Amino acid sequence: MAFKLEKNEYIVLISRRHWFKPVLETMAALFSLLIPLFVSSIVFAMPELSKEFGNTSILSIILILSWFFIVWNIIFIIWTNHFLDVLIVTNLHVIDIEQIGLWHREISTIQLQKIQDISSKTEGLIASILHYGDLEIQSAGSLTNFIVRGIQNPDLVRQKMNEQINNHPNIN
Amino acid sequence: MNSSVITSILEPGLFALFLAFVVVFIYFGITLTHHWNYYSFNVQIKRIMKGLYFFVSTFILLALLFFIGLYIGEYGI
Repeated sequence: MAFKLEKNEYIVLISRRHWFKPVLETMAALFSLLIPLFVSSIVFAMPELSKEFGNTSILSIILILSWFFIVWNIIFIIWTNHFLDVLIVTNLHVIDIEQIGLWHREISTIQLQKIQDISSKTEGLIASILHYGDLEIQSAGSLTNFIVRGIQNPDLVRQKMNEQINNHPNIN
Repeated sequence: MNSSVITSILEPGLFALFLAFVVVFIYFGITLTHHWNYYSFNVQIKRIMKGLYFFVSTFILLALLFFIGLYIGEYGI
């Protein structure tokens, strides 16, 4: 784990960003696999290039395999970033782990007793159908709000957080 | 342009490309292993992702090595 839970602290909810965005990015990456096919078909259409480069069919296979390798790595970066972005609600804290780059991670923690306001926002047709949206947490003494974007079931997460805040011994 | 000039550029170019991909593979392999061992949950996803990455990447790199070898063997200087 990226953090250690305190004594008497337990995890209430683990939420991730919705799968829609990484799936969309993966589809775009898979669609880009067609690019070398277009390029090699252009090369094949020019016989003078075939003479200069020797066997263009082997070269085009090398080109296609190289592009496959690049796209394959891009897909893995997309899904690694997706799976390592986590929002954890415990009975004492809200922890947001955000994987920005492959070696760039940001972990923010808010104590439940410092939370003043939580709002969830679902905007747009697809977000409404697939139930994902943004969660905004306003904490005491902090100038900037804590925003978690594209999270699954933001209403449920907000509800769980509110339940934990209401059950917190130092608040009531 | 003389074809031997192109192949003399292409041959080390293909090797350099392959070596660059091997470096990328090692880099991503270390990165993924580190990241997927980082969190103690989602053990099943971790195994699938790591296995999938190493299997497919190794397959692509071996295929690439084979075709580069085939090209250089046939059209090398």
